[in-house]
This record gives sequence, C-alpha cells and structure tokens, in this order.
Amino acid sequence: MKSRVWFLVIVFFGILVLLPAGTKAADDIKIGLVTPLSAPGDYEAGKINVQTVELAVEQLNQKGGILGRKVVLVKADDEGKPAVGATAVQRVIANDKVSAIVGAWHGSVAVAQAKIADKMGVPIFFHYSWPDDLTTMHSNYVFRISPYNSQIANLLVPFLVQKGFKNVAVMHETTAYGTGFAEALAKAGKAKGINVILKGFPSEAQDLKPQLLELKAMKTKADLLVVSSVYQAMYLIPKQAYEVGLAPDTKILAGWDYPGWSPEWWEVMGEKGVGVMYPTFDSPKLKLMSLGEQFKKAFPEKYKFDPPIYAYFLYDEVMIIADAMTRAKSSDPKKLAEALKATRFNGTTGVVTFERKDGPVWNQWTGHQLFVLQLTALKQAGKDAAIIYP
Amino acid sequence: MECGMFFELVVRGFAIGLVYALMGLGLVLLNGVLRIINFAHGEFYMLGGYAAYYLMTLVGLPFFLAIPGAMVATFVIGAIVEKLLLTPIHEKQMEKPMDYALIITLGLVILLRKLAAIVFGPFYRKPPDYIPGDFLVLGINLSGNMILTLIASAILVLGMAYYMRKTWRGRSWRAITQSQGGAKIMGVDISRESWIAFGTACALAGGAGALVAPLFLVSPTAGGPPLLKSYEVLAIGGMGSIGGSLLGGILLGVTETLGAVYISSAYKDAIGFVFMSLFLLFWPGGLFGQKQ
Amino acid sequence: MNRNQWLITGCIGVAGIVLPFGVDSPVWMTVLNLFFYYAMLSISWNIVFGYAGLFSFGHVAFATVGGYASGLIVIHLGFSPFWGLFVGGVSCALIGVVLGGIVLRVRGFYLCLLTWAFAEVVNVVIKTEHQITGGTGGLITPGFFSGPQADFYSYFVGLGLFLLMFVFSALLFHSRPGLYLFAVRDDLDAAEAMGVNTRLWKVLGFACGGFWAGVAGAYYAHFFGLIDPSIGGLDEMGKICLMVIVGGVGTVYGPLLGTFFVVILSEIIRGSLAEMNLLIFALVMILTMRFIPGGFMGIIDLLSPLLRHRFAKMAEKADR
Repeated sequence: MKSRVWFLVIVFFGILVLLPAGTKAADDIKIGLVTPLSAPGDYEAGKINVQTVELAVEQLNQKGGILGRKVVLVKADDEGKPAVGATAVQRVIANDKVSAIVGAWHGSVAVAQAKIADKMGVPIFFHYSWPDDLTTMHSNYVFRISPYNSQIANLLVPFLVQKGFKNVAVMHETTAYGTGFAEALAKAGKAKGINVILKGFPSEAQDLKPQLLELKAMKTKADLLVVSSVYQAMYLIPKQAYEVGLAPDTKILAGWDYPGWSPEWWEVMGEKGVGVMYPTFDSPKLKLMSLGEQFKKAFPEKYKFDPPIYAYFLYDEVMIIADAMTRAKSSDPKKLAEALKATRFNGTTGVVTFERKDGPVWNQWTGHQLFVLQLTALKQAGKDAAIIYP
Repeated sequence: MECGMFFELVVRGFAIGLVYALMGLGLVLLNGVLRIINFAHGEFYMLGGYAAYYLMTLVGLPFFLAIPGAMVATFVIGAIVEKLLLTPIHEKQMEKPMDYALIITLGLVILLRKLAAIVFGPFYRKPPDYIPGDFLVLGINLSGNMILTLIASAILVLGMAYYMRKTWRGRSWRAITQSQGGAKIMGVDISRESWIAFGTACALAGGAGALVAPLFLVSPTAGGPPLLKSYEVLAIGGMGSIGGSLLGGILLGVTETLGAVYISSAYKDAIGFVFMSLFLLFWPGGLFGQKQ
Repeated sequence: MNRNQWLITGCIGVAGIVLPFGVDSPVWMTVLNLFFYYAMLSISWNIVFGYAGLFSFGHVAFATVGGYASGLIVIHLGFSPFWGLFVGGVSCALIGVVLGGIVLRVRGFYLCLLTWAFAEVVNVVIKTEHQITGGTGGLITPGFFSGPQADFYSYFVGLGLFLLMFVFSALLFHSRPGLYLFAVRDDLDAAEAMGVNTRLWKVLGFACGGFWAGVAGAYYAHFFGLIDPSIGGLDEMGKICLMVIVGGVGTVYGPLLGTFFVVILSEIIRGSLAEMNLLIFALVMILTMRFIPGGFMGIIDLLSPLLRHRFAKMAEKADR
C-alpha cells in the first residue's frame, strides 16, 4: 500500500512541475484567431477564415508589420462548442497575451466568447456572426463588422414584397444561427403582411423529405422556400425539394451566399441548381473600394478560388486592427479598444465606422449591401449570376 | 390531398428504412460474433462513401464496379482494424470485452474522422448519379439512385440471410453467436472468423455508405447519424436476426418519417429514440431476436 | 476506509488548497475547475458502472439536466447558486429513481442503448426548446461569487465538492451498501439468493450516481457562467468512459487518475497544432488501451509487488 501512495504522490507533483509558468513576452504583435477547425464546428468556413487572416498578416508583415513590429497569429480551435470557444478565447488572452481576437464564427459560440473578451478587456471582432445579442450587450470590446439578424431581415423583406411572395416557408437548423435568422425574418415579414411558416430541424439532419412533403401538401402552398443552414442540409434541402416535387413550383432562396461560390454546389445539384436564388452581400454590382479590388486579386492568386464575402469582412478587421494600433501608437488591448471607436477606415466594401446608437447598434457597422442573385446556367459562377434585386 | 401525402410518406419512410436496415445488418454480425459495441461503425459507412466517390471520379469506374469496390475497400480496412486492435478480445479471454471495445472504438472514431478531414477536406462530396433521372413508382417520384439503393439493399439483406443459413461460414457465425465454447468444439476457428465477420460488417456499412452517397452526400462527419440509426435498428429488430434488422429498419424509417410530419419536425430523431426505447423495454429480444 | 486512504485524501486536500496560490494563470484555474467537474462525473459514473456494473451511457445527461435545472432556478426564482447545486443534484436523483425503475430491468448492452437514447432525447429537447434553455447558444448562468476574485473562490467550492464526492465513493467502496452494489455487478443471481434486494440497490446506485452528476453539472453551470447542450454529447460521455476505464474501473483511485491523465495531459499537449492534437490524443487512447487494458491502477498493481520487493530489500539492508 505504501508503494502505491508514494507512486501517486511522485507522479502528481512531477506533473505539477510541468505546469507552464507563462510565455515569454516577445516584441511581436500577437493577434488571436479563434475559429472552428474541427467538427462539430463548421471547419470548412474555419479553414477559409484562417486563409484570409494569414493572407492579411502576410501582407502586413511584408510592409514592415504594425508599428514596426512583426505580426504573429495565435490560432485556436473552438470546435463549434460554446464552452470550448470561450476557453480558447481565455487561453489566447491569458497565455499568449494577444491584443485582439478575430475569426469567431458560430453564433452559438460567439456570445460566450464575447462575454469572456469583454470581461478580460481585449477587443474581439465578429465578421459574420449574426445574433443580435452580441452587440445588444453594449460592450466596449465587442466590434462587429458582420450584419446582424434583425438588420438582415429588414433588408430582405423588401425583396419579398417586391417579388410578390405572400407565403414564405423557412426551413432552419435549430441553432442560434438558424433559429435566430428565421425568427427575425418571421417578425419582419409579418409586419409587412407576409405569412411566414417556420420549420426547424436538427443541424445534422440528412432526410428532410418529410418536412418538404408536408409543405407541399399544405392548402396555401408556400411560394418561396428559404433555406437557413450551414451543414449538409444546405445542399440536401434544395435537392430533396426537387425530389419530392415541391420545387420548381415553389421557388428556392438558398441562405446564405453559398450557391455562388461553393465548390460543391454544382456537383450536388447538377442541372437542378439552375434557377435557384440566393441572398448575399456580394455581387458583381458590389461597389468595391481599392482595398477590396486588391483583396479580390490577391486571395485567388494565393489560394486558387474566389473569396466569399465574409472573407472580405474578416480581411477588413485585420486591417482595421492595424490602422487602430497605428493611431493609438500601441498594441495594448485597452488602448486599442479606445482607438477602435474612432475608426473611419476605407475598407474593402465601404467606409467602416463603428456606430453607437441603441439596441444592437453598438460598435456595429451598418454599411452592408444586400443582393439577391439567381443562377441562370449550369456550372455558373457567382460573378456571372443574374442580379434580381435590387 | 391528405391521403396522397400520407401514402407518399409511408413509401418514402419504407425506402429510407431499407437503408437503415442495411446499416443495421452489419451490426447484427458484429454484435453476435464479436459481442462488442462498435462506435466506429458509422465511420466505415463514411469511408465506403468516399471510396465510391473517388473510385468513380479519380479512377473512372462505373457505378456497378465502384460500389462493390467500396465494399472491398472497407472489408480490407475492417479486417486490418480487427487484426491490429481487436484480437485481445478473443485471444486473452478478457473479462470485460465491452469496456475494451468501447474505448478502442471511440478512439477509432476520432482518429478516422480527423484523418478523413485532413485527407479528403471538409467538403460535401457527391458522386455522379448512379442512375440518372427520376422514375414514377406507385405514383411517387423516386430518383434513380434511390431505386438502385432499394434493389441493392434488398439483394444484400436477402443475400446475407441466405449466407447465414446455407453456408458453412454463415452457420459457424450463428454458432458463435449462440455459444462461443460450443462453436469451438465444432471446429470453428474463432480468431479467423472474428476478422472475417468484422470485415464483412464493415463492408456492409461501407456498401450502405456507397449506395446512399449520391442521396445524402459524403463528408468526414457523415458517420455520426448512421451510427445511431444502426443501433436503433439493432435494438428494434433484435440482436441475432437479419429478418429483424430488415423489419426493424423499415419500422424505424416509417415511424420517423410520419413522426416528423404528424408530431414534430425538430423532434424527428427523438421520436426514433423513444420508439427504440419502447422496444428495448417491452420487447427486449427485438422483433425476431433471441431471448436474453 | 483505512488510514492510508485518509492520508492520501489529506495530501490531495492540502495540495488542492495550496495550489491556487501558486498558479498565476486564469487558464490553469479554468482547467483545474474543469478537472473537478470531470472528476466528479468520473467518480459518479464509476459508482454506477464500476461498482454496480450498470452500463449507463446517459450519464452526462444527468450533468446537463442538473446544470440547466440549477441555472434556471437561479435565474428565474432568484435562489443562490449554492441552493442550485442541491436542486441540480436532487432533481437528477429523482429522475434517476424514476428512470432507473423503468429502465434497469434490462441488462448490459440493452441498458447502454436505452440510456444513450435518454441522453440523446435530453439533448434534442434542450436544443429545440430554445425559448427556455437558450438553445445551442446556451444559458448564461450567474456565478457563485461576483467580482474579480470570483474564479478563485469558485475553485474552492469545486475542491470541496470534489473531495466530498471522493470521500463518499471511498467510504461506499468499503461499506455494506457498496458490497450490495458489487454483488449486483458480479453475480446477480447469487445476490438474489442471498436475500439482497437487487432491484432496489440497482436503482439506488443509479440514482446516487445521477445525484452527484447533477451536482457536478450545477457546479459547472455556475463556475463557467455558461451551460450549453454540448456537455451532454456522445463525445463527452466517451471522455468519461475513457477517464474511468483508463484509470481503472471499479477502483477508488481509478477515476481520479484517469481524469487527471485526460484533463491535464490534453491541456499540456494542446497548443502546438490545433488540428493535430485531437488526432494524437485518439492515438494515445487507442495505444494505451491496446497495451495496458487494466488502466493506471492495473499498472500500479503490476508495479507494486516489484516496488514492495525493492523496499523490502532496502529495509533488510538498513537492518544489518
């Protein structure tokens, strides 16, 4: 028995000795990149987030870094889980002493991460996380370039009205993203006299035909089916809608962006992909600023595919951090947060300022342009799609 | 028309139920011959899907070669896994084979998913349609792929049933399921049958994955839902029985499909679980299974 | 519980009290708090599976229920989080009794499936009823304490609960009720023949494990400030199984060692390549299990005769 005791004691204290004492502070500027890199997170998007930020950092370092110091990225995986994401944020702040955090993705994870960043006093950016809650908490450290749910719903409803859609069905995954968007759309739609039906499904669902059949059998058939999903359902719903015969009578609005640039869209849909509409914040009509034109060329040069719109927003964030640090003449997170408030930056798609009004408009940019595109030919790329709104 | 929708739901539930039955089929073998729980069963489904996809797009095989090819590939991988990792179960006379299998297969799930994500990338892949176009069956529009899946599943299930009854190997598997000791006395080499049975179970899962790849797409995480469904089928249909697996799969498919519409869309999976639980509680042998 | 075990408990307690004063980083504080959470889950699952032999695969669902119950009570009814711990535990114990009564008539693998189904249903309910539960985004729960030292004080709550549970499990191991649980595990029919009310003890063991898991969940909700459905997922259950089995099932120290190994090790190897570390972890898991099935306690059991032999020799030499 004694030998066991000693064994345990030795092992226990032995490992305690291994506890890291803390990282050496270097002169580099550290930016934290916390994004999903593994399941159940959306690691397809996470990979693109990483590529975007790496490109931005590379460009900054080629020009001598920020304030003459090299920019270093600290990557962390949030796995799409709120607890893991929050701990990852805590880790990069406390261990690696990052000045700011970019790359947060899932709506469900973002709220937890925002709270931690706010508590620890480090600016955190959201380039494509939509829940209103992120900015309604009115933190000095949460900055959002991304659009948010109620804004998006208000931008989309005029499209519905203009095209005369009276009965809209929304199939959404039961996550903060899907449910948040669906409910915002329902609220905004009802205010304009549109009947909105919501159908939730678990995000991993593969067989959506029962729900689609139910929609098909309804007395007042839906004239538009809105898809709100980021996993395989985003391909399966349009595909299965055709299979049960709901489409093409019911038009499909595939939320959000992906038919225009996703490498899998035509592989999955084939000919049936023609005629599908999709909302996006990007289009050939999008007025790009010079920074945007530059990014539009640089990204495919390095990675061999066109960047989705959210990559533009993320790229903006890194550049804005550089701009704010230069103005503040410091990489200290608190000073950075102060300087960020006064941002007036020529971003990729517009002049970025962080407004403060009420509700969700707090450190929030509102300069987004919503478009609705329609695919008109097989294997068409987003840049050739028809712009049907505005 | 309410009647029309109901009928279509039943038929589609039946169709998906056959797919579930195929997935559960491999587990009947696994559970009987090796008596373990295999969390990685879904991962072989995923690997089968990728095998079919790459055999068609990279190697250029037609579907009637790619699908068996996928099954062969998953058989081989399964056999290797069994030889490397699972032999202690029958060699060392483990007291608690279940614990061991639990941890090893859990580790295997993580390993296989990560490797798949790194090697294949996070994309949702779809092989070219096996049988393009849609066909009208009983007034319902079914895709060619779905019809192929139904026919192939039926063939595989019936084929397995025949194999288990008529061939020496099949009978020895049934013998091992009933009594390992007894089977040994009859001259069955447990070690050999273990890896063959495991490989076959994986091949069945891989076959299911390959067949439904154009229907449900392939991705590194595609193995999650099939795992649960297969175990549900096993529970409903009964641990030792292939017929049970068939009927169990169909019942599950129909119940889920009807439940999604008549009870709740978001709770669709939960309905399946509750259905399975009712079976486990009140009919523990499953439909045709052995008494415990 | 013999003198040596009290000694070890004391050592761990002292180390636990002293530790936070030496550790400077908030990340390690979170990790230690997480260690307590997982240790509580492992110890409680060890009671259900290791002692009573009940193959419950829904254990993390109790933690989820306990956490949400506590969180909701505190938020909507204004109770203190310490009452929340109690409520979390008791609600799970009740569910454990009811569920156990229904479910425990089946054995082994079937029980595994049933309890797994229970866990999945709980998950689906929480994700869907987002109006009440906050859905996948989770529920923001008030902490035990407020202010900058909150994490520091919460740590001691965790330490206290952890030690309490450990002592409970050790006492149970050596007690008569423990004996009944072992009897249920090892030979149900013999136990029945000896007059043990196996049905009762099965349910009690199950509910007891559920109670502590509920407390663990409530603790998690309040120290972390957020509870979300991912803690009830299959991979979390897998982690608990790993911790208990790698440590040594059915032993007193097993869950402790296993949790230590998994939580602390994953923190140390984290950081290098974010994607690769999970892969390495899986490999370690598989290799460990393949070659050392008895877990850590198995290794120690193997080594201790050797060590004893060594000590005996040393003592002999000293005597001369």
